[in-house]
Amino acid sequence: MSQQVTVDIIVDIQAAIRENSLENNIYLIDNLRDYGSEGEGTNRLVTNIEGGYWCDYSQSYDVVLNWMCVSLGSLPSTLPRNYLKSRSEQLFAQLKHESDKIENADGKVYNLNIKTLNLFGQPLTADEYEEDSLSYLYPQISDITGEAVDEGVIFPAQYGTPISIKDGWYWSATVDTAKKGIYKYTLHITLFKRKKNMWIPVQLTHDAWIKVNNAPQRNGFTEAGMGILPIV
Amino acid sequence: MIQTKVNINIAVDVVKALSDQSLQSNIYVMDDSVLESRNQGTGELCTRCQPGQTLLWRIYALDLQTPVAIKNIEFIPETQTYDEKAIAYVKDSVEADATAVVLSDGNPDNRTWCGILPWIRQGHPYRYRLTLEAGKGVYSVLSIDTLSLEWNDFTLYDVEQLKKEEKL
Repeated sequence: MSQQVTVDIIVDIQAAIRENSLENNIYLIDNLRDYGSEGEGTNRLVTNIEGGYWCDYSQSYDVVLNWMCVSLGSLPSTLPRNYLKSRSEQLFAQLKHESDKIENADGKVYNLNIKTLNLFGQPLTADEYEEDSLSYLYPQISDITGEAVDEGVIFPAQYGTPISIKDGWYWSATVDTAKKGIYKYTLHITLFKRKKNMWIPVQLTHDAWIKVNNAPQRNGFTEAGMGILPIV
Repeated sequence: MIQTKVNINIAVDVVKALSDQSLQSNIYVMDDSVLESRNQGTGELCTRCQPGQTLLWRIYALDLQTPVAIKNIEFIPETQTYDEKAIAYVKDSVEADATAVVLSDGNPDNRTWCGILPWIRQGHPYRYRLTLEAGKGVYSVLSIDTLSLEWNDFTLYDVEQLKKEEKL
């Protein structure tokens, strides 16, 4: 119905880091449950995509697929974007805390300019490391690869967005709905684990599927080609 | 003919229409006819057109995210009474089964609504019922009867208005 398709990727960060695997700690949901998708809420999602084509087989309408990570184990993403930053500034001033650091995939260390909080919005002290109530950095998708990309079924790319719940980035792809079939794709997800006052990336992957169907575009009045309007 | 194709664009506030269970005031229809159509941007649009022209209806959800598609356009016979207030919703013809899968061939997105206007009477609005489908289920189908097409080769003047402007 020409709405955009969204796949929500819900990650139990603490468990995934502990097991070094997303397999049992990921829940995928899309918005096409009533339109043929299977495996909603599980780690095996098959997203059903419906397409259309004109008489020359060119695609008749666009289908856009979006992916969004949701964290089980962070402060809600609906908080204002600068919540962490403004809380941190208070803490740096009052309590003389240092900002947290983050280690990039290439080993370089950067200043995050925020102070990590727990799930209650309170700062962690230098001594305690409350693993259960730590507010983790949001999971990020670093790449989407696999059969669906190699076969040219989906064309994914990362986009910036000011929308708070997407935390600055999201991945989006258009679908070539001419390619009927079931295709696997791999999500490359980066989680961050904490060591002292530093966040260290943990790169994990998880597979999902898309199923592509299509049908010819027909004239609504004639169910075939164009004709005279049926005015009585 | 000056214009071979007339585009009729429909914008729907889907969330509001579903909440109100009515398309009244939640639908905005406009066309690009070079002749002056009446009530542009409303659910009472009367598109001025000419026989031989192709008319093409397109639909957009106002918020770009909610699903909506044209389910049907049918012309109301003159003998049939229609609802001036426009708005009915069709309940019986929709499957109540929420888990029913839409087959590719039955997908309303795979329908293009266009056709050639036949030879009709001049100066007479031909009403049509526009039926939309927003999502799935019993409450997803909404209709409106107040849209119409009209052919006239003469300019319509509002006599009262002209008298007011002292042009008549």
